[in-house]
Amino acid sequence: MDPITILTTMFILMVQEGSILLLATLGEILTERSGILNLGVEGMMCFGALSSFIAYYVTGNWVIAVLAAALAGASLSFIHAFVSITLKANQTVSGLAITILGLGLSSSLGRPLAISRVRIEPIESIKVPILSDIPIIGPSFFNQNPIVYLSYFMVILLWFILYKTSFGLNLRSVGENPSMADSLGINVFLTRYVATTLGGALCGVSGALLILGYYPSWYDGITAGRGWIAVALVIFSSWNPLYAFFGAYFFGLVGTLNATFQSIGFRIIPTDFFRTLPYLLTIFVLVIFSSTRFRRRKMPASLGKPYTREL
Amino acid sequence: MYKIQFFPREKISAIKSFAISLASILLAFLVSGIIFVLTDVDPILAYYNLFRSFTNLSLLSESVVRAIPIMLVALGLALAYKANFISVGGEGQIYFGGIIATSLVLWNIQNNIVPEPLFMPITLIVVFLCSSIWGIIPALLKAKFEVNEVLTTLMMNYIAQIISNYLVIGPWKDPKGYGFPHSPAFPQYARFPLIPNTTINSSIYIGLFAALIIYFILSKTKFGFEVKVVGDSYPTAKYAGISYTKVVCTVMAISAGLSGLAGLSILGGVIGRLRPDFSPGYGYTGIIVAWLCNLNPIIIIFGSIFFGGLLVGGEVLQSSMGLSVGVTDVFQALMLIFTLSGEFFKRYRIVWRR
Amino acid sequence: MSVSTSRRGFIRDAAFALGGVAIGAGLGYMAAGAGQKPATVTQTITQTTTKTEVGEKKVVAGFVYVGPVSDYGWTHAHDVGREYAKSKCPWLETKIVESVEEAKVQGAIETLIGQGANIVFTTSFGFMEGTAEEAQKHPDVYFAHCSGYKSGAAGNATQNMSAYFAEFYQLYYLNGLAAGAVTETGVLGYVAAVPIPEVIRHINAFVLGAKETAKARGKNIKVYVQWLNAWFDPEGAKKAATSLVENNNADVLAFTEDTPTVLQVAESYQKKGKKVWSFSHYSDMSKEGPNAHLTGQIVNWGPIYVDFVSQVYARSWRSVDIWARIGDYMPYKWANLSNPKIESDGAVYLAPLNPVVPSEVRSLIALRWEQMKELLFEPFTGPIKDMDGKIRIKEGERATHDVLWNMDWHVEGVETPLPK
Repeated sequence: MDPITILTTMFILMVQEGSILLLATLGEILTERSGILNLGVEGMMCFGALSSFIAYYVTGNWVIAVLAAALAGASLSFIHAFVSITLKANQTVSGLAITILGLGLSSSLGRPLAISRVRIEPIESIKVPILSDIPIIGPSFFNQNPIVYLSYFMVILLWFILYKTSFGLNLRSVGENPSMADSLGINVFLTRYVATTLGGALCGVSGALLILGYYPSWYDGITAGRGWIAVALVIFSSWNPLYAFFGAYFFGLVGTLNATFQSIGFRIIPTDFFRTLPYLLTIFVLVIFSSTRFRRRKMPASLGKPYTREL
Repeated sequence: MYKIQFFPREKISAIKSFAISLASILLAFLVSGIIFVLTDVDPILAYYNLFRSFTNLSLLSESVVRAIPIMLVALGLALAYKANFISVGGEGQIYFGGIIATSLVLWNIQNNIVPEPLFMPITLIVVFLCSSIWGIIPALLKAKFEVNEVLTTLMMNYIAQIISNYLVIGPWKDPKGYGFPHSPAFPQYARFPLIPNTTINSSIYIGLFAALIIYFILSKTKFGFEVKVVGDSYPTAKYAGISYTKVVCTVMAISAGLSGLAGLSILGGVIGRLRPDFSPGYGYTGIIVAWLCNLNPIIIIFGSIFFGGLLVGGEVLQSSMGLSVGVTDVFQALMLIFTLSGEFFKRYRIVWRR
Repeated sequence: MSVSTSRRGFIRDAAFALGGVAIGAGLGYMAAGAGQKPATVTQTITQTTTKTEVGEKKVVAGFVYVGPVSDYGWTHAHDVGREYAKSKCPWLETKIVESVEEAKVQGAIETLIGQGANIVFTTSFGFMEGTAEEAQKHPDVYFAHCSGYKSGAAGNATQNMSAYFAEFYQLYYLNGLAAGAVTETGVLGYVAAVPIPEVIRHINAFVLGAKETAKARGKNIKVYVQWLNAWFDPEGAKKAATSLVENNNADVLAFTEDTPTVLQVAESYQKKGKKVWSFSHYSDMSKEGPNAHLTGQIVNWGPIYVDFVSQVYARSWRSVDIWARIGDYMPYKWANLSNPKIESDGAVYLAPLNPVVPSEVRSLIALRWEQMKELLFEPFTGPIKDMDGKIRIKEGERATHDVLWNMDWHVEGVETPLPK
């Protein structure tokens, strides 16, 4: 039982768990950057998971399954977008409704699947040559299934879009100050619709990764609260895709501690302490980045507030 | 070509408002019914089973039992939402209340200091006060540092739940419990007695009393007025000299205190000991109930019972028709979404123009 | 706030006043009732002679499940038993409630009683207290609790409550025999749910069996345990199983968890070319891991459920405490030598053995099965030492029922100390 093996195993589990969180977090970052708070991540993830399960079972093609999941997540988030943007309703309640809707649909539609023990094969991992031979990092980050690699790509893509394109600039200004953005000619409503729907699509894909990568059969509650962790992660990573990368794996790492500590016989600090750590740190981050001294890196100012065009 | 325009309404008549709410709920029924038909389920039978709890006394009794913690949380949240403080922390406050209650019980079992008849009243007060402190934290963070309260209260839910589960698996585990994760049983003096001939425990009185208190605060006191002003318009409140800090802290103290009592009600009224995950999401159900009942404490009493009935109905649906409990979730979600949409029509007039 | 004397205001105020009076009365009542003791637990057996209808009486059996039927483990096995009972008893109607968290059991029982259940089965140890309370509240409904120790027969609950359980430790011993015969690394892993005596004796029996066959091959074995602190935890089970294989070098994984996850993990290793073995638990899970499946413990609750509902139907209820082991509920006592499958209609039986288990070990397993059925062999026969070297069961003695039901120590060979 050498440290290298222990770390490698921990990292492998960490990447598996963290990538799921990462995709959902990226999606929610996109949404929240435009000023819309979508608490429906858990529901979108679960519904995406079920859709990908059915699609993969029927077609055997994981790309179609991922698309199905994206579509599922996007449809739920579109409802949220309509209710929050056009109908200007309370986004917290709407997000909760989406969570309940997503979970409820998955539970009821998935029931016959669960009972009949339908099984799918997890998709193959692909080994990246050379990189996967690096100790510890190699087997964990570079020997995973294609959707995990997609998540790495999404981090960079999202970062690029947000900070290096005009669409991203518009998006961020809509999130910070919608009336100013409006007066500059940016279509606030369209931007928010796009951000929310695409964000939801990513949350759906995170559910696809959960199924296609790691769980060959369906059962109720398969998402186990990961969607809520993603909501916390968005704050923890200060709405920045690059920080989200580290944050997601940090949260994933904390989840592996119970098994790892038991393996090595470490019993001094109860693992539950580590489980509160991500949430405690998130509050800490919230406080720091909300106080006036750190204006530059705080949350999108219009988050959660519906925008009404003053006539 | 017709053009649709929306104009904010000045005010809306109570009848119109009620009609819109009713239409929203009926739409939810309709759409759920369509989903039932599409999935090969008899909608009439499904609705009958879903609402069986209102036709059957013992099921109704169970619905009321479940309604008690929901009611307490919803009442507290109604107060908070009136001040436009969007707390989602009910769930964590339930767990925190449960932790405090269990600690008192275990301490008294050990040391036997508090005389038995006084135990419950003292516990009620201590749980309320400690939970208030838990609730004031996000209020202060908002008032002093402008930290978004939805996010802080959400995070604190996790912390409270993890701590509660840790305590029950670890230091508070019943040594005579064969290693199972539960606390020693609460002694009889720490339990809410049942109303005879029903399965309803007497914490319902706390819920009803709380409803009256909240009603009183909101409609009869100066503080209630301040709460409403803060909720309507923060600048107006500031201009009027109302202290935002004082209002949100007090509001959250009461809100969290009530949710803490909900935790006590679950442990002392139904389960009789601390267990992991003892709240089946009542904190979140409370948000929905408070909101659907328009933050009106009297309506919340009935709304909570209605939701308790829905929860029981979900289980009835499962046990008599083999449907998943998710069906009630879909129904709840549809109700919420349509009601949310209905709010729009209450606030805006639609005008068709050529 | 001006004092309003409009009609609306008056009605509001009157309602408030009335409410206050009602609340005050209620609180007073509550204070008065706070000191009351519950109804005494010891009741004399009450014969239900009042119901004298002759002819058809429907029995409605309610089932409270702790997990989803789709777990394909514990709950699924109970549901299979329920279907079996329905197929044998045309007068039986059943209703289930799934995924009931332990804290919600009383609510679920109420829901079932409200729909007319006259017997309720509660299928998790954690439901025990709730079931006992409900049994007190509803003396005209029968209750049977699985895997607990409270019943009228045991003297610690009302007479309308029975307890039932299917014991697995004998089968875990047989699993251990298979494990010891195939392990190459000599390290076995066990993913365990909750540290209660039932699980502890499963682990111990497994280790005893494994040591027996491993010693015959000249191998010493070590067993590492990971505790999940939950019955249903596929995520945790996955991480624990992976950790045991990677960090502790285990190549046989036994488990007590309600899903086939550990077997699935073993199967994924087999697919990658690494020989990791695992078992079925409660239900035949061989399809979940065709290459990794060694054998396993299968439970057939069906005959037990038929037994209970028949008592209700025939109005012959007597509180019992059933502890079904190998040989119980089998329709015939003697081995069927022309068809030497170790199964069929008993309450507990062994899953089909993987051909990789050598034939002499398979014969040993069959022999031990027959011996245990006739009570000729007991895995917990002394001398047995615990992991600190202290003798727990003396030479030549067998563990008694109490020793088994209160087991809180591990046998030698287990490396992981029990959690506090």
